[in-house]
Amino acid sequence: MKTKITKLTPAQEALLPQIRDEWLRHGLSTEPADRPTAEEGVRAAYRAGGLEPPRFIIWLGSPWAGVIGQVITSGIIVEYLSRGQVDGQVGGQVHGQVDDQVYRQVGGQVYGQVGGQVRGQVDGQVGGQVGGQVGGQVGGQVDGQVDGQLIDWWKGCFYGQHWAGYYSYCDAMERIGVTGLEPIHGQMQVARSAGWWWAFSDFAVITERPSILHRDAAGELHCADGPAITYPDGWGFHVWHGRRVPQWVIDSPDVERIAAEGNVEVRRCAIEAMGWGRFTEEAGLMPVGLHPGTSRRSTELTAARVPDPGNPGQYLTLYDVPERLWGSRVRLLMCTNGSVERDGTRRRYGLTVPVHISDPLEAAAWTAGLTKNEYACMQRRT
Amino acid sequence: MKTLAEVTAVHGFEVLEHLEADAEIPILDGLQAQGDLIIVPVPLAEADRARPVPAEGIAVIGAAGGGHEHRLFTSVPGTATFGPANSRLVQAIGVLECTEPAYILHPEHGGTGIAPGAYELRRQREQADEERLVAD
Repeated sequence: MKTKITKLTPAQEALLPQIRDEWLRHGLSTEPADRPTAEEGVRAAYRAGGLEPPRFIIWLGSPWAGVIGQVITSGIIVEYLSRGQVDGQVGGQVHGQVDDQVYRQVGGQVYGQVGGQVRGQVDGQVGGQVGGQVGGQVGGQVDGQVDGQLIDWWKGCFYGQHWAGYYSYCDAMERIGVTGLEPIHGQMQVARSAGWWWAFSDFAVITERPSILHRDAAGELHCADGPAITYPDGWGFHVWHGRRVPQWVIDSPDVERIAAEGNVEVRRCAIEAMGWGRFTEEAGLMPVGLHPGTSRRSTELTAARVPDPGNPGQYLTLYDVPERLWGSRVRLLMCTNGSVERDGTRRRYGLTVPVHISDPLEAAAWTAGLTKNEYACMQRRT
Repeated sequence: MKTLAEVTAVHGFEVLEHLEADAEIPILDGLQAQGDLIIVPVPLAEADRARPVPAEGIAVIGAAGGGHEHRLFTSVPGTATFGPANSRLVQAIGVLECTEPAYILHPEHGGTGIAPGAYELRRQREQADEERLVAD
């Protein structure tokens, strides 16, 4: 009886971040699928489930095409086959056999051979991190977008590269010495080479990986000037810092569309995408305390702004934000960055503050957790 | 006073190219801000759980998934400590105490110089439906 692995050696611990990074690369890959390798993987996955490999393997260009395709493919194949030689019987989904059994086997081996502390370490340093970035922040968005339009049609899907979290965990286990994990190799091979796939008894449908994928500093899907993710067949969608949004939010946000948008989170993304500076102009927002009818060229408007302490030549202005636009009652502090951008300009940005705050300096102080008088002593802001 | 180029070279820290390399970093003992990081002088600081600021510095605001961090360095090794804040504010990060000037560097904002003294470092906050901390 093999002794359980209850502690990792320094060499094994050093390996974990490498394995994590390898699988992050697979999970976020935008390379064209390696079709021969993926097909081999699919066949191996079937055999691991005790099944004959599929007669046909069909490639489609995106999860979207795959979800629709896997539903109608059997009908097409039956139609094609019934015109020809072979029998017209085409079987149903075999996801259960290919996955559930294998998943249980693999889980059993890991549990039996590895102690709880080490399992936790590998989960924390490899599986959880890869799963969070790939499954949570990318795969989940794609899933959500498909689900929004084709509810439940994708049942029985193998998520390929988007299951990198789970496969990275298995890979790490194997590389620290767990044996008997061969049944998952086929699935892992597909995950290194392709996107989502479906298993039927006579055929399989595999799909391509995205060709374009943009993320922000926090790892969320995000793109300010186009779709955040695009697949080779053209399917894709727009995302603003992890929130899926309609195309207009990215391409052409304006006050009218924002006002007409029913979803408050989408409205807020659109305001951010537009920029608070442009938004305050186009929405005609008024500094607090001024009459709504005040001309934008008036001296009162200029007087409403306050010099930004520690930031010479720059000003702070406090605006009221209509509740129906933001979704709740809030005021907006417009500031100018203390540092210049590459093109020499200074970025203007907005910070929302509670409505009980009545002037710009008090608002800036609130963001720093200080009183107005304390904040007025700011010596330098970069 | 040292320039941005001199301080970043000593600590091996990269800032964006367009920032003025020859700009001197003033060393100040009052209230300062660097983007969403606020440096608040405090009259007395509790030093018990503070640790020395090491040669590689401390990221007082970390880079989330590849973004930018605000990194704290000493000008003279062994002259600064950083410990948990005793403030009840959610936005408090920690307390810096230094007997020689300390620097906080950031790729977009350049350098902030801090004179000997005690300071509470805070994150800027904003109000959505509930308070949240600003990310630079």
